[in-house]
Amino acid sequence: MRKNNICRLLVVVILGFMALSCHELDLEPKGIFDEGTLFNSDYGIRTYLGAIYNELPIEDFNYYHNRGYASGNNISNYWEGQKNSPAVLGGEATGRRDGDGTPEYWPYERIRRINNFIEAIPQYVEIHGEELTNQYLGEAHFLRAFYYFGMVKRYGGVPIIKEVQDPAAPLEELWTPRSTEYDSWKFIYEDLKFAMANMAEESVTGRANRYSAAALMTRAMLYAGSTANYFETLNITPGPAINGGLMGMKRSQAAEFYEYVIEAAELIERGGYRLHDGVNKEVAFTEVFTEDLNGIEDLFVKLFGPYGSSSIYNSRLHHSWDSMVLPLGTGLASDVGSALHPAWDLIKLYQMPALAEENEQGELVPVRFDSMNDLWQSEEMEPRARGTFFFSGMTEPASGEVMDLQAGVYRSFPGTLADATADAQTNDYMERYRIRTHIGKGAIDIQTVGGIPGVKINGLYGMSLSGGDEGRSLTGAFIRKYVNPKAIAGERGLYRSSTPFKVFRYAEVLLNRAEALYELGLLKGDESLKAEAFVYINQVRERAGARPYTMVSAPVDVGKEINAIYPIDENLQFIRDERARELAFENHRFFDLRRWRVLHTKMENFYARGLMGYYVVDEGKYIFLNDREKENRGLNYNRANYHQQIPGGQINRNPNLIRNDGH
Amino acid sequence: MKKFVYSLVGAVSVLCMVSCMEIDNFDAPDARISGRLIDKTTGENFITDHGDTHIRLWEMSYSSNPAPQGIPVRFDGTYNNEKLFAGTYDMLPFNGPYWPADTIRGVRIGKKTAPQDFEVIPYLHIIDFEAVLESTTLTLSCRLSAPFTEMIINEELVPLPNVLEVRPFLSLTMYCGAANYIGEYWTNEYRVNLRVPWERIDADGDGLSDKTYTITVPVKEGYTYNVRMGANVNYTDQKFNYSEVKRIKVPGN
Repeated sequence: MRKNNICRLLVVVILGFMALSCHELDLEPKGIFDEGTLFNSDYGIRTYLGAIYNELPIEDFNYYHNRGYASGNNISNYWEGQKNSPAVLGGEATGRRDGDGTPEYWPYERIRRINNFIEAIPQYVEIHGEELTNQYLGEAHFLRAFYYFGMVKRYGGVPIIKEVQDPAAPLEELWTPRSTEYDSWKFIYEDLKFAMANMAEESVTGRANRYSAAALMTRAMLYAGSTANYFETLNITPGPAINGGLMGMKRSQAAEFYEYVIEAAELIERGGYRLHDGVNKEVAFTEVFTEDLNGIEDLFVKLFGPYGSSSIYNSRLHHSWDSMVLPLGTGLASDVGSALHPAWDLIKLYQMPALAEENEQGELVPVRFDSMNDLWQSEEMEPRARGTFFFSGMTEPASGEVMDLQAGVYRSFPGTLADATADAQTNDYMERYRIRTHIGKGAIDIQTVGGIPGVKINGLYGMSLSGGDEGRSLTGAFIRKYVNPKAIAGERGLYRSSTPFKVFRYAEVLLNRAEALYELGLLKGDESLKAEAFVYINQVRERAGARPYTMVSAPVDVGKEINAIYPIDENLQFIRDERARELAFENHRFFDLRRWRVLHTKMENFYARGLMGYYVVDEGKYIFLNDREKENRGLNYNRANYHQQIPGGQINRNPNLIRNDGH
Repeated sequence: MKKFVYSLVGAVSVLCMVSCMEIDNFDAPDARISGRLIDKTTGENFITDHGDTHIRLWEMSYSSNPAPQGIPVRFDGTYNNEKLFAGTYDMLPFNGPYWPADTIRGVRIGKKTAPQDFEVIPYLHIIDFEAVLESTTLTLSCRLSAPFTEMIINEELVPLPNVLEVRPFLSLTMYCGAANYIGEYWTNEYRVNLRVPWERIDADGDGLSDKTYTITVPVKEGYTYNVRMGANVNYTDQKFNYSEVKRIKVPGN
């Protein structure tokens, strides 16, 4: 009987708890700072803003061209971002490709935090004072513009939300429609204008100041100007998005944006920024990427964590640059190795000794070199090229290893350059005269060729026909930019690199300014603007150690060479090529080709080629040929993706979002 | 008491199990629509390759902003889909090598739907297509013709976009075109690169290209090829307008 009573009591107690569980427990969570704690001190504000900085849409080392930014929301394996770099899609390098570079980017939850800050911080003006409050506000506007830039450059017009929305509001109010593309770029302009006027003059490395905002202004407004200038050349059948101005702009709107670029660049120049240089230009150019140049050339830097004693996998605080661009070897990469390879399409743009010359019959034949080192030890090669690439024979500073790269051997080379260049991996001429090897990693193949013993077929670090696409070179050169020249043993594995990423630097500002000036000169028919553009181009070239460029007064149209859908005059193409040379591997190339609307024709059935050094046995000399890399990876770009499609999941939540046309 | 507690637990667990056993008893979609894509200038089926263009559908009875669906147009210019949801649709021939068409609204699609044909005007006709075989060299030639050199779209006079290229398409199957071709022939060597406005192609304004475009390609002995030529203009998708298909048998072992 007592047992029964206890059972009944137990049941009643359990049922009682269940009833009470519907009662709301309205308590503050412990261990979470509320707004009052964060916003009333500089340290609290830096903590709040730090989280926003952390998620900025910066295409850095860990950015995957198709998965997107290494973000708290994103999946792991960030080391692959290095070989799935946008550099591959832009033809600067060859690596892995898994799409057209169209990750979804719709970060309104982060924009909400910035809007929250902008609304709240003026209430704390008594604690911080007017000037500091305005600086915080300026910084918040800069951050917000940066987030919107990541969206607008992909989608065109987006919903502009500048106040904190009330989640309890009726859905019809929350379903914000897209603004026009013009208004979206102007919104970024207004935010950055405020930031430029209010942010601090100086900042510590890793934090932004008003000149960082001005640098973003030059980049964003240049994108806007290019879109306006070239959108109509695509001739997309108008649909609801184009007719509503949500996607695309008119050429008549371009001049305004180019002028904003020039204004912002002038501000930065007045702020005392300049190009870092040195007596040894090759070393100085590498220092641009490995030294702290705050207040000199650096306008905004993304810092990574300090070197650790072991790899922390999938941490965004580190990257894997050294491990993914240097070959496997002692003191070089210890994991994976060399998976992002520089492509001939980029290498050929630099000032360097000629690799081909005319023979007596007027045909192009390869130039003979006594040694492969003659290519880069020449006065003719610009020091910037030696600072951007490792060519065969150069010494990697941290390890002391000599980069030994050879593609193979020609028994004899009686033919012309055309004979040995094919739109394929091989042809009859190459089959007859060329010898290559399949030897494994870390080995050098020595053969007897034409009766001569001891002929070296390949280099220790490339190239061999076996071994996949990682570990050794595929294209006859390695990337040197951003490689840490002071790396110690073990610091070249996955997730072991911490070299800061230079988000904005003064060289880019000069290039943005030059392009805007020239384009504005073309639109207005103003020759003085065009000439001024080359003042800045030549400043960049002077630092690079390259010869200055003299503007051509009657430029020819070179657009047909890349099947461009509009004429490109040779001066403008030179400005674009200078951008490729200076900003190689900084994840600009893909976005630049995209905003110029030349990516889809340039990348039509595009196969990366290399700088392949061969030894000609019966002459005892070396030649350089531009064979296709052995993995034979072809690229194409779907021009519909110049404006990415609005993510379907977002349209499910907000049916007022109109899809982009052309898809 | 024990019995009461156990039966309570038993009842609750049975309820839990049953709640996971919902049967998805919606019917599979089985509404159908079919029809032809017609070249308005000739009255014949539009000359295309399998899947080169498609008919775009929006199920407006489902949502006011639905995701678009597509029915690919087949090699012979017809289309057919028997797995749609019954409802009211907007339909439009989409992004093919023809002047933009008008959307047909309010098409009721059900289990028995009358064929829905669409008329479009191609950008180019490929005419006078010749294929001459000499041992293992095939010489292809054609001329271009533009049914319209300008058109009023959205109250604006839009000119014919620039003509881009003329290319050969060879295939070993019954399909031939940009969706089915032997890859080795897609190089800059075997094409005519134009990239000029129509006025430069047809200076005397008679609607036909002034020149005959010739491309010479190597072929292999013993193979039977299906061959056609195509030309495209610089519109959104840059797809090709084609000539008819010719069958070339190369003698040999």
